Amino acid sequence: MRPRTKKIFYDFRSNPSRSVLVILSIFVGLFAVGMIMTLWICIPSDLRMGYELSNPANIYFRLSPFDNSLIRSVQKWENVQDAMGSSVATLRAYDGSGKLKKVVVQAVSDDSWPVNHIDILEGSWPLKDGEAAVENYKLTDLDGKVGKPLTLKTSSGKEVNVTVAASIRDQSLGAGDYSIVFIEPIQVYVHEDMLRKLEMDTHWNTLRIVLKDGGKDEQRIRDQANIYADRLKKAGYQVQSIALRRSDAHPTADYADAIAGILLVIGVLVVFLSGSLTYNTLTAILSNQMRQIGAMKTVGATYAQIVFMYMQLILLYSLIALVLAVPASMGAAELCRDFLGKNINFANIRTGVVWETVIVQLVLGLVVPQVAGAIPVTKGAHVSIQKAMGGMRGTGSGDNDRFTRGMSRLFSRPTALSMRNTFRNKSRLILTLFTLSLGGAIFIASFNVNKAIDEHVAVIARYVQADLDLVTDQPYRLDHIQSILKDIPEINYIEGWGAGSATYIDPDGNDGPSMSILAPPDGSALIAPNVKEGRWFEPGEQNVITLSERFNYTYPDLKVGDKIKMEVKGTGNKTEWTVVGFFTMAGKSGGFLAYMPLSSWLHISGAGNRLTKFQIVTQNRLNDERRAALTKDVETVLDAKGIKTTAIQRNDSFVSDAARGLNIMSIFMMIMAVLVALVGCIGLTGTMSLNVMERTAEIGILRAIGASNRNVMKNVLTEGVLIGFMSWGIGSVLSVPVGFVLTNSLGRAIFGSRLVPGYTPTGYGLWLVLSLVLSVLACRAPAKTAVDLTIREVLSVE
Amino acid sequence: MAENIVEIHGLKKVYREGSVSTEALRGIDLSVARGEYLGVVGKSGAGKTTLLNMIAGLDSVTEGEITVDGRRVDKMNEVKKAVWRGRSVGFIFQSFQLLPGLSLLDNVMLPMDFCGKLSRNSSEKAAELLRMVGLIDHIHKIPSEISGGQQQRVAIARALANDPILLLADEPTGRLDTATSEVVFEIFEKVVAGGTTMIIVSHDHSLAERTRRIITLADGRIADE
Repeated sequence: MRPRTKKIFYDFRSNPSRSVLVILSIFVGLFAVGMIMTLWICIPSDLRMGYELSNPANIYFRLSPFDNSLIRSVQKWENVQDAMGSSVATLRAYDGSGKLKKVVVQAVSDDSWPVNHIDILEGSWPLKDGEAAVENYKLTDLDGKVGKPLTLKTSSGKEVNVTVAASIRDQSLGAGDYSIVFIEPIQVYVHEDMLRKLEMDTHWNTLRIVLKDGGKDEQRIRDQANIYADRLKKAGYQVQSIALRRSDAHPTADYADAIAGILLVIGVLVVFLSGSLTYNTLTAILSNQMRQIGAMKTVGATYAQIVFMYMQLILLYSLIALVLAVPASMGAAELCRDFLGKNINFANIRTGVVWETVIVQLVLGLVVPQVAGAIPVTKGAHVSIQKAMGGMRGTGSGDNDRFTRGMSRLFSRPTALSMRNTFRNKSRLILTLFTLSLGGAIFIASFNVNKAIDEHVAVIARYVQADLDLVTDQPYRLDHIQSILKDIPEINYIEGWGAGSATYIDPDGNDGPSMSILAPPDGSALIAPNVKEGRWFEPGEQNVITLSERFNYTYPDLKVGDKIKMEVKGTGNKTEWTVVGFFTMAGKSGGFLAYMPLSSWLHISGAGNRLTKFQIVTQNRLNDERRAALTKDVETVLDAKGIKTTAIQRNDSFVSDAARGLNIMSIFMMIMAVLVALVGCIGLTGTMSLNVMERTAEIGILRAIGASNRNVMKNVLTEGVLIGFMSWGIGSVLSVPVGFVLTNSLGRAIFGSRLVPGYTPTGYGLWLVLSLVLSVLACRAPAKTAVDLTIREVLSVE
Repeated sequence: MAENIVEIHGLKKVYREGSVSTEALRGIDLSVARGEYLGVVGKSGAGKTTLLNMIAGLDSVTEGEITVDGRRVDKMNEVKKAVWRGRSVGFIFQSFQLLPGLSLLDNVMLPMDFCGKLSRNSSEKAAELLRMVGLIDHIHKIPSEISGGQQQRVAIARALANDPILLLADEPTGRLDTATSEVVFEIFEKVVAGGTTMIIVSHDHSLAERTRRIITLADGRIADE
């Protein structure tokens, strides 16, 4: 081996802690970029490809009962690739603790599920009589397990036992009613033969159609749906609702978009973070090599030879970092994908190595450290031999002396010296602060974004402030329900709300999507809406309506003051309404929801002053157990009076379901915060350690002129704390724009509008503690090594 | 071939730091004949090291001309200077400046490596040089495993690795005791006897007197010869 090659290896192994720091600096950047990029590539494609592979329906018709003959006819219609019928009904099921939970039960016309393929995650398929499959996403909500029995309760109150034979993934959840998996009820799938036992219609009531040639053109889907709807109506079927969806539009695609947006922002910042970290580390190493560079130049080394030698050393660091980072980032991304797949309901389609990521990691791993190192290396190689042999250790400029004198008036001389040290190498200080502040900014911003999410969850909760939501199978007068339930002492009061569904009439006059309608009484204290545009309706107003953000997204031309038409289910009349406002709730994929005054609802519903939805407010804040018992009590009392309950559920469970997607975003943000904290902490530790390592000789001089070890340690630690504190301060300020960008990206993807930024002291506090503790620890170890050496050893250190 | 291996005319060197200028050399005229053994003496700050650095091309010239073996050092760019220095000049520092991680043998072979003179025989040649300075039994040790005097002998061997026409030594015995200094000078005398031109800078008159010609610098000028 050539002597200069030996020198490269010697430099590599001579100071293991320094080499480990450089490798770690490169590693964390590559790891973070690898993980982020894999997620960025895979999640949207997993969602899109996985959904497309399930042969998703483009058109969902909710029809009056039909049989297989219609399905066979539809399969022959032009542009139809596949059609499938299913019978869908809302029942209830007992969970492990005996509480009744709302479940959607469905059976399909073909066991092979030609449309909306499902993935069998566990158990056996096809189902037999007496068996059921439960959608994996909310299987735990039922405390269900494959092989365990499940008791379903029919609308008449009959209990039917089935065995959970399989757990499945159904990526189309929410697609049929413009909803998302989070707020969809628990899904139970049964064999056709079970329909009679469950008192469900043995005919099909939902028709799913897949269009030929991909079905990715929204307008084409809409046009075909109108043609098919006319044809179905002419054939005598009643079209109750229509839902349309592109083949590449997974119901939770918005969340994937939000994740991708956040990943992109953090990914770009991490590349900068890692680059500056590597630059900092390499600059520190190079400044320690100046004498050797001088000696090599003296014996004939050219500028190019020296640059090449150090570039080879950097390459060695890079290769080791790459070897570690590529598999580590793959593993971490895989774990993250599994978590997100399970929680936003998609399948990991791309398996194996994500080569795009590996290539980017290779390029970044080989190029960024070389580019980052090129500046200090070329600068070092350019230094004159005389200057290099002087060790490049500055003796302090006049500015610094003035600075020290100024500080000495305010602080003790050693503290002033620490401060002078901090500001001595300004370019190093700027880079150190840049790296640490950027890391801190992302870390703090992650907490602030989380806070914004939490605040939005609180906003959702303000729409449902009653404790229990009671839905009856028939409409009743409010005073009737009140009189029946008056003997339950925990009930404070009951409000009757209008609730139903309607078909939105598209501007072209065709049937549009099905929308849910809620109508609270005037002055209801049980709702505090979050109006994003326009206003909420006033007491006494008629024929006014407020719409959810989903309308904004689907009908961007729809504005406050416009008139819309809809047909409330069961009335057969198309009525016109004035849009007075748009509100934000669970996001633009949260379904078409509208609120109107109760008086308007009573006018159009045709049920007189009878209602099916009752909001129950309890006397005091009841504990969990008592609230569950109250649910049973209400149902028992009503049952005794012959009033059948379709659903009675706690509103907090609705809030937690609606917030589920946002909570996943919170967890995801925390994963990102930890990742950035990892990069930042290594940056902080590395930079501070190298700063102290570089000053080993100076420490020796201080000790030689009488400074005690304690003085030296105090001096070094003060410097560490000062840098830690400064980086925290700058990071705190920078976290505002970073948080704004992240919150904006999240808000636009999920809500179609900006999310109100949140601020929490948690991120600021945690980063302050981390900055200070790590600064002290990072400085302490090399400072201790320096004070443990004899003065002679210290002064002879290169 | 030039009569004098080193020709210096009107050499000036001014160091500037901010608004402060320091004249290290104030117009040096000097000729060194091929094979000559020259001692440069003077007090600290007289400009001895600056003069040596100028001859070796380690520092830039402010004014004047330096010609070594017929080549204008003051006109060379950094790349040419590095190649020329590696092939033609051997330089010995007061503080040895060996590379700490390399064995003595590798330290000696390093100039050959940089100057493209590394061959199959390089290690034998480096070992021969180390034998000449009395360190053949230590060739695989690293610098920290030998004494200061031994390190300086390695530095001499390294300086001779590419058969330089000119050997420059800056206070080569400044860090050594008298006995060790004696050994180092014996080696220098052997080298000069072999025909190599040598210039030694020292503040110690008694050691410099072992050279064949002495010049004295004071305040950046040749005060005595």
